[in-house]
Amino acid sequence: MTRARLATPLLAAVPLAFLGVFFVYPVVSILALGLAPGGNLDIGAALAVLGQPFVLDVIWFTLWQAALSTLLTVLIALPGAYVFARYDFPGRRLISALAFVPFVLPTVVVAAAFLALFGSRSPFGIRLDHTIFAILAAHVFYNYAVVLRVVGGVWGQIDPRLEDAARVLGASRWQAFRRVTLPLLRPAIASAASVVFLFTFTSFGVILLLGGSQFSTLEVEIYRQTAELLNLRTAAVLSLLQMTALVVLLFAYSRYQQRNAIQQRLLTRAQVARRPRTRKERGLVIANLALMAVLLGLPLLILVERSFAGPNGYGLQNFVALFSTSQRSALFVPPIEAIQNSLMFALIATLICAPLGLMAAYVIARGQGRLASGFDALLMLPLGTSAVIVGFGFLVALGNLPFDLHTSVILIPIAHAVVALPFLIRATVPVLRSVDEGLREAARVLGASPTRVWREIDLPIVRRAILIGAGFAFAVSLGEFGATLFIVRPDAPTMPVAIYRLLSQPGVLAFGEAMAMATLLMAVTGASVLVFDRLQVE
Amino acid sequence: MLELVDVRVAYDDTVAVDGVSLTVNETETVALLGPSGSGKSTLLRAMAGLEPLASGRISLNGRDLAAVPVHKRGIGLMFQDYVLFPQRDVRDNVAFGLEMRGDARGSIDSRVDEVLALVGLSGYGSRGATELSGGEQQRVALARALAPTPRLLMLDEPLGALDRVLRTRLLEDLAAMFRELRLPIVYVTHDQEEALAVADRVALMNRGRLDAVASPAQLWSAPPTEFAARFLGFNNIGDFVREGDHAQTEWGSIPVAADAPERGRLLLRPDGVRVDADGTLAGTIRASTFRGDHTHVLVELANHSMLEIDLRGDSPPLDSEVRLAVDPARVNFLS
Repeated sequence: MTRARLATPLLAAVPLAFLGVFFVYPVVSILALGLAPGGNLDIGAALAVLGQPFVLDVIWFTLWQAALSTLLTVLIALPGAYVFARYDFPGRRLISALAFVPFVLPTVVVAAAFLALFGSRSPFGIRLDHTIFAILAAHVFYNYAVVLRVVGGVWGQIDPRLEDAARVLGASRWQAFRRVTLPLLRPAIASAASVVFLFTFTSFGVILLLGGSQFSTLEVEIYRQTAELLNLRTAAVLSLLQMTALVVLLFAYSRYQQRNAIQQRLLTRAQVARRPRTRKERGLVIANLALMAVLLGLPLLILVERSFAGPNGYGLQNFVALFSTSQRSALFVPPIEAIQNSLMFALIATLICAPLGLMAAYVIARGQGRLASGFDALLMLPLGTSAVIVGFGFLVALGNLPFDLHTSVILIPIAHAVVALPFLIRATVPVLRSVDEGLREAARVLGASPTRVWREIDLPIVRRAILIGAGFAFAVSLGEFGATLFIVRPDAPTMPVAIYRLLSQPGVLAFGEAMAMATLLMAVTGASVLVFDRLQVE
Repeated sequence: MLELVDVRVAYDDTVAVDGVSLTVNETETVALLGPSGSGKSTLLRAMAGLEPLASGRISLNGRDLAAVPVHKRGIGLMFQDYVLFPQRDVRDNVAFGLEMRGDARGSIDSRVDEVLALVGLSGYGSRGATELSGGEQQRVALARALAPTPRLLMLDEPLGALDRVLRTRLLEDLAAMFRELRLPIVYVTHDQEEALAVADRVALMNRGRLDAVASPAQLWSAPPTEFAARFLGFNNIGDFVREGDHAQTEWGSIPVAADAPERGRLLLRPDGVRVDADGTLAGTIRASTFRGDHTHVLVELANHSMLEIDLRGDSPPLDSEVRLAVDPARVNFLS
């Protein structure tokens, strides 16, 4: 066996072992707890849990809020996708990048922003917290960019003359869109809608913070059954239901994608896009940008505004308060320590996740055939669960390991690494695949030794891949909330957990501190994204 | 009958079409010829209603089209590289216009079969639009444009993407079909051969303006402008001053008709120059290219100016000295 052939299984083994211990084992533990409490298989009992009226309510709410959120997001973002695909206007690239900010923000920051906008201290006096409207608005807010990017990307490649052709043949504007463009967009819309549905189906932070006690998705209910009612059995059964639903969704999605590929000549956006010409076109662009400013910009603006607002006017008092432990605080430490914790956890999570992700991505990018695609699918499994289930699984399972991790803070970055790994692999594989074999051959023909070829051609790309992956892992870890909430120690909160605790407290001061902390988390996330972005370019 | 009066199309501070007036008669085929960027495709899109007019008027059969939206104009337009609907098969592509018109299913089916037969694609109905060869796609696009019996047919570079052999054959098919269709037809192309072959009249465009409008024979035998002459591939163009029945040019003194203009620009047609021991011009053969029915020869004259000439039969050997005679009937005066 050559060195290279031995290297691949070794590279594959490490991430597999990691996922085996920290993902598969916890999930199997949930399975055991849900289906066979006490060691004997008891499906009837599990079904009895599901049959309870409150569980049916939770399932129904989870489904309809996700469906409605998806529908609204698609309807609101579709004109934006059109405008960004078809028109060139000053600042287009910058605005397109800014529109992505809500998507990368931690859900806790999103929830905090909408509490600032619609909560008890709303500067407009609009109370929409604890209503479905706040939840839907928040969901549209952070999923807008998904539709904008996915649908806009495809729309920008469709020949605009197809609609012209339809128009000349007697179709009105609407008919031309419905009969010609829409069928070509449908796979992209379905793809974006599936992703939005998945995100809102597993929505946790937004529902927990904005919904109040009357709204519960499966995710939130798993947490409540565990943390508030200590009903691990019910939580386990709900987790199983959640996982089954997600696997079915992902499977249906990939089947649909395979079946609905339409062969067509694709253009580049540069061939398609042009300056708006008529007054109507300019009006459309401006109206859409205004909508984006209100929908995406206003909540964040109000969040920042509230973080500087105190009982005695604007100032830094909320930020100053973060440095001290108030006697009323639900945190046992000065909130500022949460920042330190978050940064440390994010660093450790990155150090765990980046090498694992790179190894896995390398195997996938280089591999061919069934084995490689099977490996690929295996590593995507955490996507088929959710952060909450990862956290719950850790809680259920990891007390039983020979080495006691139960109370160790290292669990948090490990959980973050499990959550981030599939995303990181997805981001890294295309970069690794972008190595052009022709480039390697050209270097060899020009007299470069294999080591030299690796150093000159592969290394810069691998470096790029590592940085992209690391940036991803760092940002995911900073904002991770669902898994962390299950395993966090009261004296070592992360920033999202601190924000959650502060928001759960009554009082003006705690609210101000929560706003300040959310603003800081937004800044730290933004800064880390920027730093890694910079490093990549250099 | 299609009538364009002083049509202007402008956007982003650039004027794409600048004051074009043109009439296309009931059964006439007019070729809009010009280099890329001359505004011919934009003018076509404006006629279809796909580009707004800055000013001017377009009317079809006496009716002003200004207030008529694109889909009510009843125009057949065949796009450059066809733009077939990729998700529909051949039949559904051709049927689209009929569906939009609200035809009954049975009449759609028979009309689709009819036009597919017309373009020689009977039996192709269930083929995917993107599985076809370039020539087949071109014919589907034509069938799609013709199916709803348009009052005006417009084609944008219909043969542009095809290889040379196929183009020559399809060009003949198209010319024959145009004669049968008895429709006003506007044919946009950058290829002078195509324009001369299919059109009853050629409208030459340059930088958004009409440079010349003439029948193919007129245009070829007497290009009215320098731009037209150069676009048709002529290069012996220069200043002249007439003195009696001779004109002084950069090549020397050449015989011209006595009623020719006093001065200006002229074109010395390459087929109007022959090797003749009594000729008035003297020069040296510098290059020659065999072109089948003639030989294209480059001659350096005594004053070092270059002259292109087309000779029947063989060229004298390279670097040999020749004397050249000019046929005064084959000198064109340019405006």
